[in-house]
Amino acid sequence: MNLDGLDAAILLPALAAGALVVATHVPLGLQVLKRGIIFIDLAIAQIAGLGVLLATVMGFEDSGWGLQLTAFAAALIGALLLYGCERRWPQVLEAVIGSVFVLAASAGILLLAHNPHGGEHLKDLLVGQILWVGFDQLPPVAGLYAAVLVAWFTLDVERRPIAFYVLFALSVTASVQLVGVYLVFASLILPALAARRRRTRSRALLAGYATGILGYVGGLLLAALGDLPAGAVVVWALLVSALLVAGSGAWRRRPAGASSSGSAQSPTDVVE
Amino acid sequence: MPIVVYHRGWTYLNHWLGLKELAELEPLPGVPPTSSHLSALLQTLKAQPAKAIIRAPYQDPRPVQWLHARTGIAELVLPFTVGGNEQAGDLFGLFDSTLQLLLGVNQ
Repeated sequence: MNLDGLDAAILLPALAAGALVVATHVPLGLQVLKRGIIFIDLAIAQIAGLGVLLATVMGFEDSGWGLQLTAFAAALIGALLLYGCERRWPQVLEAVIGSVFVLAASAGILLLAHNPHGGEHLKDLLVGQILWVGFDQLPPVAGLYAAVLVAWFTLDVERRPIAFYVLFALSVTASVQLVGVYLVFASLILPALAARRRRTRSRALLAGYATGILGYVGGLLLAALGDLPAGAVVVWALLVSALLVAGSGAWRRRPAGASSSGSAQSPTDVVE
Repeated sequence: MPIVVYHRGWTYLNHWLGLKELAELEPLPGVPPTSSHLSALLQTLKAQPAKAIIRAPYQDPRPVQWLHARTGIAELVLPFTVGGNEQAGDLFGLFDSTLQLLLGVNQ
């Protein structure tokens, strides 16, 4: 135990970043799981990373607008490419996505063959460090995510796959730079897995959000107390909270005869 | 002159010039620092402010921005090796540029 790590000035911006990522990635993740294209975030993140590398090679400043525009443009082009593949070759979409991931990663290495600066960039993008987030970085991301969420819940993304791909690319490009690919992947997939058996969309969302928030709060606290790297602990905390949420759902859904306390069955479950 | 470093990569330079390394941003290279390390770092610098946060050109600028936002200590990118900046075209350039940059901060 180490109470020195419980420093609100360090943990609160990280928690706020986590809450932002959870807000968009839970609905996105439910859709990713439904479509069965789990590795799309790795592919999109890698393409966005390739855009960042391209911007560095072209001499744009770190954290400047040129760099962000290149990253978003690259991710959008990648997303539209994958949308095209979904329409043309739906049976092999996941294979195409995997190939796009390794191609983008290899293209990054080729781009950097003569550039000593970019290798660290690529690693930072993958591992990330949620504790480097400052409150000053959050307003632009919050603005983007608000727009993404409004678009997500007004457009019918199930019927308009192109909206899904575009919104996905925008969200992931921002979140990857904030918290790194590992946390982005975990925030997409683990809450969605926990919510898989929920019968209505709103209940799935609720279960997903509960998983995400519990994971980030618990993970950041545990990392601070245990003096461990925050991002990696949050990934594991998300797994534990996913198991808890999925388990509580399964317990509520158990057949009425399985236990004598049938009255514990929530009334809303009976309605369906 | 008191400084903060990224990790312990400037030992010879410190010995030569008598730079005083107060703290490291990332004590284990490649392992993201923990919140208690960062909290201790801020405490150290509050008690004893440094003149510059030294970074090599290949290191991630985000941690330095993070520390700068919380302490106001300026970033100083040193070439680290030949080719690290425009002036460091050879060994002489490397040392000239490094000394010039450090003196610029120590005014």
